[in-house]
Amino acid sequence: MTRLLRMLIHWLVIKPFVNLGFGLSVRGREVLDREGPFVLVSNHNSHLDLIFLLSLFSPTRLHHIRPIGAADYFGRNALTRILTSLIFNALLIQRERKEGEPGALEVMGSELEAGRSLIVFPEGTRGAPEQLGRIRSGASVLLKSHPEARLVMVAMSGLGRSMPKGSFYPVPFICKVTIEEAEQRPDEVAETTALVQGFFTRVLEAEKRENDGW
Amino acid sequence: MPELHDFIDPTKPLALMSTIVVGLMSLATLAVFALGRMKPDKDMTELRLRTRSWWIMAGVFLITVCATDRLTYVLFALMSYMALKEYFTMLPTKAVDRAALFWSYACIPFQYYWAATEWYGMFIIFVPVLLFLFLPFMQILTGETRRFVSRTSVIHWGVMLFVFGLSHLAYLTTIPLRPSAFPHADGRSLLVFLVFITEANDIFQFLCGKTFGRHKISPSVSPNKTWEGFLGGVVLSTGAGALLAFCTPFGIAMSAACGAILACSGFIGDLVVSAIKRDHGVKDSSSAIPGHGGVLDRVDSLCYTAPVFFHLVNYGYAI
Repeated sequence: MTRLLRMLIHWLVIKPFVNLGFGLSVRGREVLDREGPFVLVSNHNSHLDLIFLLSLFSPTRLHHIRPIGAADYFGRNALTRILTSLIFNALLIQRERKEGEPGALEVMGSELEAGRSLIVFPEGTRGAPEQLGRIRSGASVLLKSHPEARLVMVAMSGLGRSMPKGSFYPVPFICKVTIEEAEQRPDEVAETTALVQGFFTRVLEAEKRENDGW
Repeated sequence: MPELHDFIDPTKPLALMSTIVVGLMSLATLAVFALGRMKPDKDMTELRLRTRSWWIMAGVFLITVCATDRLTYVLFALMSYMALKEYFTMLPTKAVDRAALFWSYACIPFQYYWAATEWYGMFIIFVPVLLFLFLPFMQILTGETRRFVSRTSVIHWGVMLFVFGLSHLAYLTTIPLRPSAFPHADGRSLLVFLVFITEANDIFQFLCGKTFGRHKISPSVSPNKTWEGFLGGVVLSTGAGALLAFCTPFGIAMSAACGAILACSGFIGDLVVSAIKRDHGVKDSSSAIPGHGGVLDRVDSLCYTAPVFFHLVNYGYAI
């Protein structure tokens, strides 16, 4: 029932909102069609990032995909818990490990082992529009202990053009999404983090729009 | 409710056009299918996607036009919106011009409202006069004067082409025609005539160009266009105009002439939008329509043919 409702919300509300209200120009979409659970890492600059990411998938796959969110923020009351679970199928994680409860990495790992995929924002928190923050290593540690999971990297740009800092109405623009899969997975955590950082830097620098300069 | 024999009745132009369109597209789909069988190692995905998109576009267009006028206005307003969005994304529109861009989008429902209520005076001056004066004012308020003429021109030009130009399609739906020897022709059948010939001309030009193309017509703007393609398109569109005369209140001769006029203006529209894309190193405006590119790529000829045809009809055949 939740699955059906979620599919309807995505088909009738979220997909039209993303594709009509904005628009996505996607490179590398075929990466998403491949088989097997993945950890998707993406840059995070706007409230709408997760909605855009989820609209890349067919709504029938959404019950296999779990975005990671902070429990203390997104699970702060019953309403946010219900909404994030229903609309996003979010997996809410305690930022601080509690006594006797499984840690964040264990919870995420068991999702991967169950064949589900994860969406992670390695910058940790929303950065300034169109700026890249420091990449944290949580996803890399998870990937080291689950070598069978694919690493899918997604860089989104253009949302900052629609709604720059300080603006209070959006202007429709088509956003650019670049998707790549890490073919060679490094063994070390630090190398995986560097690989992800390198991807973001490379893609986002290339897409820095000239229209902000003169 | 339409009856079966209506679909081959020339006095029911919409029904007959639907038959013709479905018939032609079925033939094309069969041809693509046969081509795939005959050449098994040729990559057919692009052609298949293109054909499928044609079915969807033609289906949506015909069903909307045959259904209600209101739905037709909404469809064209949506088309203007998507094309304008692709245009503003493609061009280096600056963050400082946000307000002017916002108002450009906001004017779309108004322009189509003037068309829907048949307020011709407002319809014809809203974009070329009122917005022309208003949008630079919004830009002045930001205080930014660098590249002012260029920035304001980019915005207004987009609105002229994709909102003002395309909105003529909406007004054509309700254009009041003088009594003529062809009473079954109305705005809607004229609209189908216009769109069919414009899009068919694109295809004719492409096919003629591929078959006999040799002398390039404008290599710096659009390297694939040839004189043979263009002239072949004009000839075939003239023929198509004559055959589809049942959609129009003019006779066969004038319908044929309209076919030729639409072929020429559609060609120019295509070239003009190609020039924009070339200027910005873009091949497709977006990937909104599988196999075709963006909405802008599909409506580029219509931006020219719609106003030309509307004013031709308005001047010669409307009350």
